[in-house]
Amino acid sequence: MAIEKMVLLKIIGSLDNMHSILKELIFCENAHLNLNVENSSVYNNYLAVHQYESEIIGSPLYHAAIPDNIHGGCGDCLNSVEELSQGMGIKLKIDKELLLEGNYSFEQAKNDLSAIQSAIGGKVKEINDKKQQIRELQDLREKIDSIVDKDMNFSKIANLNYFDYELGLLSKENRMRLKKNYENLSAIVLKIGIVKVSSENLYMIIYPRQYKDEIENILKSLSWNRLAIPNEYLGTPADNLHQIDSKIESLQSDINSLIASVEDEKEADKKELNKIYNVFKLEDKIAELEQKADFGNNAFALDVWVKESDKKKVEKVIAEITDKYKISEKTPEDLGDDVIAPTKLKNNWFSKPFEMIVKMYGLPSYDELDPTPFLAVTFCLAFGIMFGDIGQGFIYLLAGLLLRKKLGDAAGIAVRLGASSMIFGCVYGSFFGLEKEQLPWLPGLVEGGPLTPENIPMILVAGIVFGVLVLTLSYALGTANSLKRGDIEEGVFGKNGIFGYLFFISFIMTIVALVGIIKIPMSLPLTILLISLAVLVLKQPIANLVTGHRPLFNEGAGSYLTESIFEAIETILGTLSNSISFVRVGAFALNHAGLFLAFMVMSKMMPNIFLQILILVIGNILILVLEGLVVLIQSLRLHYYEMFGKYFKGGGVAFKPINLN
Amino acid sequence: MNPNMAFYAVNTKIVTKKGRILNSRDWEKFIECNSIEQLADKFKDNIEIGKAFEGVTVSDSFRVNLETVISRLRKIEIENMLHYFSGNYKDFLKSFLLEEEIHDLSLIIRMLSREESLEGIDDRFIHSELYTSLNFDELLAVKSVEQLINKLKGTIYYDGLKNFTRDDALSREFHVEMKLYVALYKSMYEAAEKLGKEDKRAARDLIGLRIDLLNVQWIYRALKYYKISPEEMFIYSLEGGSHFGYKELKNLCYSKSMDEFIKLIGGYLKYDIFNDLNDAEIDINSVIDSYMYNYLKNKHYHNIGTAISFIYLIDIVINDLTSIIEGIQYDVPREELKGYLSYKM
Repeated sequence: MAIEKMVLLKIIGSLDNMHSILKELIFCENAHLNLNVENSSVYNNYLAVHQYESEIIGSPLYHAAIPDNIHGGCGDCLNSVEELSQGMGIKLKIDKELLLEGNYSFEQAKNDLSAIQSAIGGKVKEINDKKQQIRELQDLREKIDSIVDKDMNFSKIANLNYFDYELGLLSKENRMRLKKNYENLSAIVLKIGIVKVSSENLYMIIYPRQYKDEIENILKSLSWNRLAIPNEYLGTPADNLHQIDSKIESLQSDINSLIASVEDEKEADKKELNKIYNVFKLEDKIAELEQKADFGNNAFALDVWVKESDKKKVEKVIAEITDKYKISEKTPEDLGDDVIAPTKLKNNWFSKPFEMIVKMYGLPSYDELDPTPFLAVTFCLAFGIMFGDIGQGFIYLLAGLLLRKKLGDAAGIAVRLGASSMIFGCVYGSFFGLEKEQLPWLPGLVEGGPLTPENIPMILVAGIVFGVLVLTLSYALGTANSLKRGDIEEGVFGKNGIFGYLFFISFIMTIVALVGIIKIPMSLPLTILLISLAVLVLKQPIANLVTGHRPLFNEGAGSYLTESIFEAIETILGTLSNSISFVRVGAFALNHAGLFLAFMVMSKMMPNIFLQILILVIGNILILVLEGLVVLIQSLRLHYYEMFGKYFKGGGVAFKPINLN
Repeated sequence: MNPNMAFYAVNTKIVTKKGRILNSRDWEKFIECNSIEQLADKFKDNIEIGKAFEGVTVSDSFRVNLETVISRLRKIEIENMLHYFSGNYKDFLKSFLLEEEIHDLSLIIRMLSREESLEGIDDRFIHSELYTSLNFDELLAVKSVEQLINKLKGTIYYDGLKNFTRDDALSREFHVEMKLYVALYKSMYEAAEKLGKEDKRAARDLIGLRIDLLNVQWIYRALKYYKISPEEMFIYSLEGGSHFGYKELKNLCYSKSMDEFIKLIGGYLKYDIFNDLNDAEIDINSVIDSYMYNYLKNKHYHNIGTAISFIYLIDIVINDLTSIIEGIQYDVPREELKGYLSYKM
């Protein structure tokens, strides 16, 4: 339905062209690297590479390259660029365009980098080192600052003849362990500071020097985080803080003058560093892909998934580099269950934002139906029924439109839900909670508003009818999904398949006959109910009988029956709770009107028109924020629990095209 | 009905699975095997145990040893069980998978500390790729213990290991295991807090017993093999046991002899888990497994306890199967081998 068709391309090419081919694959951003194909015996890369090589044997164009020659990325070069730009305050960003302008090679980039480094590298390193020193000092400062007694003099205890001491951080749990065994410890432990934003506090431990080894072992077992105050900072904590502050200040002023001295180069180097950075990123990515490829003596093979519609594009890109390549393709169907094809959803403008809700539950697997289009419609309906109001719906719509750039899909959902709310507002005749009684010009199909006594049962029943309809569709999708997987047992005889649906609908009809809403003899739905329940319990032997599969019970009749009888009990309970769940759709529609009625009554009690309007405005804001949220959660709940459980598994792998990011 | 747990479905699944795993006839066949290859085939014939071999190809079996394949059974069963749970219940059960993660993490640390190559080590991994909280690819790229610990920043394991060095890894191997266990049980108890009342009680009961037994194992080993002070033993022991509070743990750590230790355990658990064996005859793993097995056999739960007991049972089964593998490898007389097993056929 709305999942892109994929094909697995096996690209085999000469090692000579590997670098260029991989580079173009990264640029075209159409290929998803396959990582699970090796599990499939259908697809053997080594065999394919050898076949290819046997075809080209004797060709003078090929030399035996050793795959070990492949470079292992350029992590070091990347670190150098990042350090340089960090020191100069330049922000690096990935930009494919920079790589496409002109022919700028990896070697050139390396040379340019070393030129920049020799010009200003020393200064930038100094800036970075000083910044690092500041960070360390700030960390030390925070710990020393946590010491409660700022006049404690460490130099006095540092020179004891028979005792040693140590400062360090200890977590609460480890402190507890120490405390519980304190009487056996040959040391004194004092809590001297409480460190903010840390789960550890500062302690001092003083012990006789002869027990040094023993204490060291104990501290190790406690994950003691030693705090080493450099010798230059002797004195009281107050003195230390003062010394640290002035040290930080002097470092900062050094940094400032260093930055000023490289300011002139900064603008010139900015573009160049970005370009170098992108070249290194590209090389790093190529190296990463090379690690995933398989090799023969002269050739490499790489498996990538591409959208069927992009297949030609990818082939064309490679064909432009060389004619010495071979691409073979397999569809996910050819590859069987061992290989999982990635999922890329394809939806129209209306349902696209709702992909977010589906993904929150799970991405559909490749061989599953994408529930997004169905969810988009039912979600809007459920929300609209529960929260129908022309004015409030308009606010959501407007908010969605205004925040479109900032919130993306979430704003798109708000626009659609707002519109649905407005449509149902027209049905209920409600504008910011006011009804025909106050605004006679309002449109409205429900005469007298939702809260009129004769309308209440109708709205509640409408909720259930809505539920029966969407569940019917859910069962249909569930059946289709199972049959698509070739699972007849689940699709026809299972609880989410055809007989599951028969059980559900006959269950509903039995209740309808029981309360006498529709005059049908109760024996009819009851018979179907019992037959379908029996089929559900015996689904495996029946499915095996139909498909000619033997034995009838895959794993013994006894254990199968025990298991399936319990499953049947769960199905009965599940069906009951499923149907009742949809009462909430009607109930929330009533609740929506009821909540506003409360504000209306409060407003009428106010002495003047301004206060009356104020109460109504506050009421509307609360309804928009709180009730809107509750209704959204209820809609999510209905979809995730009652509907997705029937037809959606969601174990897909996302399609992530190889790119520079 | 608990919306987060398909209890009846889980319960019946587990009953069926237990029946299939603890099938005396199959176990008799395991013991009678003459070679590891034959044993692997017999394992594959058992519906449940055979699941561990799914996806293990013939070429794999040369690289991956049988113990590793069998150890993956626990992860497979937990992953399967997770389908029946959602919300906090699912999170709680997922926390059991941390044990596999700890196994693999300890393995990496061990190799790094001995400066052995990490190449091919992933063949010995048993963690769940579906639910792991760690990026093992990144961890495998490190070159030293210190780098590895740096990579663990932000995970539950970091705090216990942050000051750990390569020298420590060589001289105090137990540190890694015990500190990782502290992190594991802390997460497990935190996850258990979010369960319903009855389920929480069952979880505390079972995890508490497990912690007790791990403490017995730890202190026994420390007393017998490691030259460390009682203070350290006490610090490394795990919190949250059902029978051993701080006081009991302290008494155990300060035992003056193995006899005193055994006597104390008997008093606290009100049961002689060492079964009158003398010090030389004690195999501590088998002692705690047998106790756990008997406990689980006699306990019945109508809540999450069913799932936890099953996981603990799988642990025992894996240890027993590993004993069988070793027994066959070293040609241990079959009757003697039976004696090592916690599951009595």
